[in-house]
Amino acid sequence: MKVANRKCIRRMAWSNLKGSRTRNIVAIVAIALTSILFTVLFTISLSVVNGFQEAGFRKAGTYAHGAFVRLYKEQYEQLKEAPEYQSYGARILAGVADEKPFNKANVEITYCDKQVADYMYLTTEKGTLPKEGTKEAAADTKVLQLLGVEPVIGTEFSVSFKVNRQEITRTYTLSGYWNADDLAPANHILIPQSEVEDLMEAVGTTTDIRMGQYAGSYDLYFMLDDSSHIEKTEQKILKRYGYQSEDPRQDNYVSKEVNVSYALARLNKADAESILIILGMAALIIFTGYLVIHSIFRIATVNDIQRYGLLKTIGTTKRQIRRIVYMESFLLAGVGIVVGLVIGYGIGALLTPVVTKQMNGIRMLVSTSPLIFLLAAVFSFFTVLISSMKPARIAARVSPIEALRYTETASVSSKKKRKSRKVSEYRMACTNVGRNKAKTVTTMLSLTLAVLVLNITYIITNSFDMDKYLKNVKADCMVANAPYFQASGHLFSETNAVEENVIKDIQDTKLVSDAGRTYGIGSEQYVYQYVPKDTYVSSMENNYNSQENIDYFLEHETQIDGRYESGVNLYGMDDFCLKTAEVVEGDLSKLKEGDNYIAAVYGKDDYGKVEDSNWAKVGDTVTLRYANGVEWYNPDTGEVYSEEELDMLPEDEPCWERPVDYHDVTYTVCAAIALSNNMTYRYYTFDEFVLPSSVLLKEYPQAGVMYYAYNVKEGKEQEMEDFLSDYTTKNMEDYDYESKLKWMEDLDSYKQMYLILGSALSLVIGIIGIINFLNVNLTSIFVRKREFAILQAVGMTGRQLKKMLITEGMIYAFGSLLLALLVSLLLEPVMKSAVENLFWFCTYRNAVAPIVCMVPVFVMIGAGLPVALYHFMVKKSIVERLL
Amino acid sequence: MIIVEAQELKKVYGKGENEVRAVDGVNIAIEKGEFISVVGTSGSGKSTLLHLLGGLDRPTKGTVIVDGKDIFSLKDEALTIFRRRKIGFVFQSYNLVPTLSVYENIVLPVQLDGNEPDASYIGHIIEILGLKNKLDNLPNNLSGGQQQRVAIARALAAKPAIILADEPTGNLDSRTSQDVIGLLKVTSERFSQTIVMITHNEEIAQMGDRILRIEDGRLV
Ligand SMILES: Nc1ncnc2c1ncn2[C@@H]1O[C@H](COP(=O)(O)OP(=O)(O)O)[C@@H](O)[C@H]1O
Ligand SMILES: [Mg+2]
Repeated sequence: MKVANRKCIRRMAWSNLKGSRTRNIVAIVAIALTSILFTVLFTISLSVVNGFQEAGFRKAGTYAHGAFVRLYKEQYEQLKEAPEYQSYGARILAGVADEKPFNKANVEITYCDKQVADYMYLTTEKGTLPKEGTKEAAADTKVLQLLGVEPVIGTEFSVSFKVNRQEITRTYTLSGYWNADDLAPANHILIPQSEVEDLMEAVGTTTDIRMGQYAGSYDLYFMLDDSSHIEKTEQKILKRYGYQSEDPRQDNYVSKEVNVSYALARLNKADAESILIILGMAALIIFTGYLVIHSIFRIATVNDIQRYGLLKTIGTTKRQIRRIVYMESFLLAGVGIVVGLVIGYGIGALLTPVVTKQMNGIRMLVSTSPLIFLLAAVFSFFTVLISSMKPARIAARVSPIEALRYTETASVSSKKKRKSRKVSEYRMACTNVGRNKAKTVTTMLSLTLAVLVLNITYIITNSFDMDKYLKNVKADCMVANAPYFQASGHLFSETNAVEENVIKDIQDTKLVSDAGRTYGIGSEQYVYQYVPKDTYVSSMENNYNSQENIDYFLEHETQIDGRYESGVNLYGMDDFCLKTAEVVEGDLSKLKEGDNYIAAVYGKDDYGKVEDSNWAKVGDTVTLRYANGVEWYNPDTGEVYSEEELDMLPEDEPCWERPVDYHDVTYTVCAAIALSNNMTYRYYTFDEFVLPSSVLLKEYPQAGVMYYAYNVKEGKEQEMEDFLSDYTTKNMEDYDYESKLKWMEDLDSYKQMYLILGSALSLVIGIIGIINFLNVNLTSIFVRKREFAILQAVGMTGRQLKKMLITEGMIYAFGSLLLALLVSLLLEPVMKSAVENLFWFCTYRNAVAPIVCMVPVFVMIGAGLPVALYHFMVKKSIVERLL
Repeated sequence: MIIVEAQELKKVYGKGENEVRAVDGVNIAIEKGEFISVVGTSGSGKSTLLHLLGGLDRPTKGTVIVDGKDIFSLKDEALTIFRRRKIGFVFQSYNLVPTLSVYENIVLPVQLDGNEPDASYIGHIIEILGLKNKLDNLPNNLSGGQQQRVAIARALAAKPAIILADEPTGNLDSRTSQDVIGLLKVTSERFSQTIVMITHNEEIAQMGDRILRIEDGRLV
């Protein structure tokens, strides 16, 4: 009985649908547009998330969940049997190459099985992986370029590398290659497993992990079923087979690795912000969709009310009628959502590059995650569902008798009386618009939303402040080794110092007007400062050390005159760079007077306020220890470790570093200065000081050039830009640059991204608004057809009627524009703080220009549509319409 | 004085086999102040004739002269303006504007013409038709008889040359019908109005000065 019932309801819903084609099309279009917006939103969001995660994998060198590394073959055979892996693979180390031409790269010569090659993104673009038993090898383009080998399959090339610290040179045939990834931690030459054995035999070595002879050792990479407990699972596996990963001195020690990108992918603060933005957008789309879909369904229900009344008369229950309405909505939603998903994904794929282009280090990849479609479908369906609730209730509630009189007019004129005033087409228009206030307001809101989004887009992009954006840019150009500019936490290293021949090449362009070098202390160079106890303790506290730990350090740390040893971020600056510093206190010119003055660097907060961020005040003395090397020792026993001992040191054994072969110099702080962010190390580890470069070089000649900064002659900026972009892509690939011109382009393209996204969004919302307006207008004129005939019969001219309809349209048009104006004025304080907090380079500039620009568009829509409908209507004579 | 005159009036709907001669060569002359009843079977062409006399529809052939003006020589807009000044309609289904109050409905033709209604005249009509207490009501809250009285007031408001009423009592019970027709007659006499009224009801038809009978679009 119940089943038959359902069937019957479905059939009724279906037949209703077939009866109202225009309404169906309008509803499907509205649902599809809503679904498009959701799909675009999720396509872009998930693509960006994927991009970030993928960038993390590439930095780690692999997307595998984890690995057990440096295993003997037997250990590998044992551990690979664990049932926890979803997939796994082997990688065998043969050798490493770190001498010229690979001194700046990190090249590993390994065998990787297919699975590991895939885990590590070593998939050949041309050719294949090397075949067993041959002298083939595959390599990335960076390796080939450094070797000076053309990437042609079948080319023979020689390469020298070390197998367990013993030099060997081999000639291989290139079997395949792939594009090197700048983000990857290493470059690769892949050889067959047979060749690994061959090499070991040739140099006469064996694998001995404890002695640091890693050649021939296995790495077991794997994916688990789930990325949330990688480390725990690893420990479980190790334990099962009798291994441990804590104490390397034990025989059963196995080293494990965990891919941190998976853990990092979980919520952090930045993500929380993005999720809020995405949710905000989703809410906006739900609201937009609700306004139009609800309006369409409601009008359709009211028009069909007599039919529902009839169904009631013949015994259909409320529940059943509700179900019929829902069923109709869901059938339409099914079509609309599918159309929306397809079109939306296409648009999303087009817009994703616009977004990812703005994000450093993210490869443009449009996500193909099914989650996109799932989320978009669920959100769209939710919107349709809440839009159908009220119409379903109206249909269910209507009494059979009421239904006969339930016209749009009757339903709203609950009023009995009306103050009589002079009748005019304008007043009649107002009355008509006011017939159903809720409908009028939602229609206006629907139109308002698009204008608001457009206006907000304009305000944001208009608030982009070039001066603010460039406030840290103190030189026209800065040239340095590429890692210096990367935001990924590379420490400055002496191997990455700017070479003099590069500086000469730049000067040879004759485009430079004024220039200077800034020297830095590399990560393998050793200069120390001595800080007061408070500073020392507070820096330890900042690193979350326990009191016990702090006491231990205070007891054992090297001291001079009661001050404690600490690292230092020391600069040696040429005049050009020094001049960019802002003097907070003291006299910077004293630096030039003698060799014994130093400037202390203070940081500034986001609002440009100088922070108390250096222990040294003007007049204080600062002692620096310049060392040529360090040694490692046990602070408890004083025992100095050898390099081999260092390798095998258990994790809990204290191991401290201290300078050897050093000399100390004491300076007086002559000035407190602030450096623009761009001119610093670009990371902060220790309190910073600046010396003139000549003074630094005298004490520490091995200091390297961290960056070369210069201004370009008037009008030669573009010429220099062309030179640099060419130079850093063709001649000196390790180098990169920043220029005022590039910063400006950056901001412009950033601006463009917001404009494109914002305009696209407001366009779609606008179309939705217009559809809503069209539908409301169409039905309102349709239901008043007879009323207009009466008016014409008693003497209203076509002109007057048109004037009335245009006035109605104008009320909608200007109503929604005024609403937009009002809302944006009300939103101003919120917008101001949001814009300035979200984008540090913004200076809020309010604007209403887009709203004003929309006036003609709205006038055209507001007037054009009713007039077109009027002309359609009067094709029938008054008499015909009166019947 | 002849206020309305129709000559060789024809209205043909459809073509070929479907051709319907709704009005087929009607000649009439109506004197000022006459109260004419039009009777005939359903589908005989009464309404069509009335619509043509009032300029609501254009004839296939023939002329209608109202107050000395050949109304079909006028363009649509001008015809509409002429209609609101010279012709008052009363329909079977009242045809009031639902969003306007009773008073606004009554003075609608006058105000659409951009004129101020003649207060004492309108007051008089309202008085006679007994609508004084209903002026600020919306039409939907009135009974059928009341609504038809509002329609009559509206037809009279512009002091037209002629009032055309198409079965004004068709939706009313017989008692109310008598009242409404009585009022129509009283007001038309009081303001010496010319009235053409279609009716099915012989008794009501007898109240007219003259009875026109129509059959298959022809006067008999
Ligand atoms: N718009 C129209 N199209 C076609 N035929 C029509 C139309 N209006 C009226 N008719 C026909 O014209 C004839 C006269 O109609 P009508 O004047 O309404 O008759 P009455 O009012 O006397 O009942 C009828 O046969 C009717 O079917
Ligand atoms: Mg009729």
